[in-house]
Amino acid sequence: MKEEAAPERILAARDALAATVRGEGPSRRSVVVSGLALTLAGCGSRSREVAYRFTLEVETPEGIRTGSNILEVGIGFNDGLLGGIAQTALSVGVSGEATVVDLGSHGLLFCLLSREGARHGSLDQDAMFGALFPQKPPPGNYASERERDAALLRTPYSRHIDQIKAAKPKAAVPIDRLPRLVRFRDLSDPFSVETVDPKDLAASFGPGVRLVGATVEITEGKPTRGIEKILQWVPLLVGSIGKDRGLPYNHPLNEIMGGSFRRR
Amino acid sequence: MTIDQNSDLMVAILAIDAYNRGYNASIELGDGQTVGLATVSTDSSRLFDVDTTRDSGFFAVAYTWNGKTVISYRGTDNQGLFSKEDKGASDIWSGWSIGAGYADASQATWAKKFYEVVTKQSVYADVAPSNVVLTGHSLGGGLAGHVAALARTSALAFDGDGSVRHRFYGRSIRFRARVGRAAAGRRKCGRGVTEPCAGLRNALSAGPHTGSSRTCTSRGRAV
Repeated sequence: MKEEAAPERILAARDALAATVRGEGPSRRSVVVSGLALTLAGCGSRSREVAYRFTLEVETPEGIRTGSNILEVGIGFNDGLLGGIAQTALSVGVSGEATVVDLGSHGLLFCLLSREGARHGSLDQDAMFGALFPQKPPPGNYASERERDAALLRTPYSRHIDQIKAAKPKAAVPIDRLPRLVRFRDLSDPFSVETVDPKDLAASFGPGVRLVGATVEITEGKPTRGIEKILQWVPLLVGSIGKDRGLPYNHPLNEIMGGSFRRR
Repeated sequence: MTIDQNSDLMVAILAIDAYNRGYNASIELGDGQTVGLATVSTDSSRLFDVDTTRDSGFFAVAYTWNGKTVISYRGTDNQGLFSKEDKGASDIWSGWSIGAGYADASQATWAKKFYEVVTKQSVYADVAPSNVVLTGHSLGGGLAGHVAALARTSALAFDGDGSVRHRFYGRSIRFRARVGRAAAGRRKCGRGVTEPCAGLRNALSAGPHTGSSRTCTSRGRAV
């Protein structure tokens, strides 16, 4: 293999190893200790991936319009042999894209991957699976809440995920838990983005337009791709839309970023 | 309980706050733009590509507080050895490896880049900003110390990396920081807050770059 073709990180690791051998890099003791720590810390439960279909249903004067796509949430467990070194018990990340509903002459409705900070209860897609399919304690008669909670803690969360994947349930998403909804006055201009109130779509799309409901259904398959065909500037968006405008942290243009539209 | 807004405890709270924002947030904070008298000014997801920083497992938040800029680096939140990059990379490969002497690890690179964008000056600038405080918990403390050593600014690390070997200008400098769990709120942060690790300061004072790094221990002993 030509050297230029090797990934940068491989070349860097090779250089670091060579430096160690020459005695210029980390000491052999640190390498051994680091290797041991890596092994102990990293050997935890196998991570899980759950694919789900996210669907939005909107009523318009012309009839019901539906938008749907597949997202995948990855859940890692920070339970290596060294225990909870990580600050969080789980490592959760979603892959996929914003959901688009074509409302015909009324325009396009986007349900982003990120939540709307100003709307209480709004969730990121990262948190959607955990919120809609919470783990429950095993069936039984518990003398107290404490006993019930202890039983819940004894049940591995990974088993709960496997059961959900096998059962493939479908759940309704409460309207106020939806991620941020937006529309664009001009699809080619990211600054024309406007937040849409999920309880008042008519204010953004005209009379007779109403959000009927949203559902999450566990499924199989790869995340849906292709939002750049609608919003061509998305691949070029680095950071938030308003990052260079000196806006407050929680300004909508600062809360909407590249990762709101698609994540690998 | 009233928290002295000038205290190291406030910095500890900001060190932990980095876990609760951005991707893989521990807690949904709602519309929180303020933490006490500190105001969030930006975070790495709003400055850089989310996918790229998530691939490295990197996240940081900048605050304005008491006329200062506080940069808080997130620590380990993914310790899986075989995590898929598209689900957030393993902090072991991209972060902990800094402690083993690999200063080019991606989280170190992002930590420097975040510092430069927020302070609008290079980590290698001749004059270090006087109003910048770097902090972090666990791996984040290690990142704070790493950048502080380069930029000659101050850092307050909580539960930071046990050993960071930092290399620049062809010299290899070792800095050790034994730290406690004060920032995690698991134990009280008491008298153990100490002035910089003397070894690091002495080692760096001879070179063109000097750093100041404090560590916090829960046991009240100097580190």
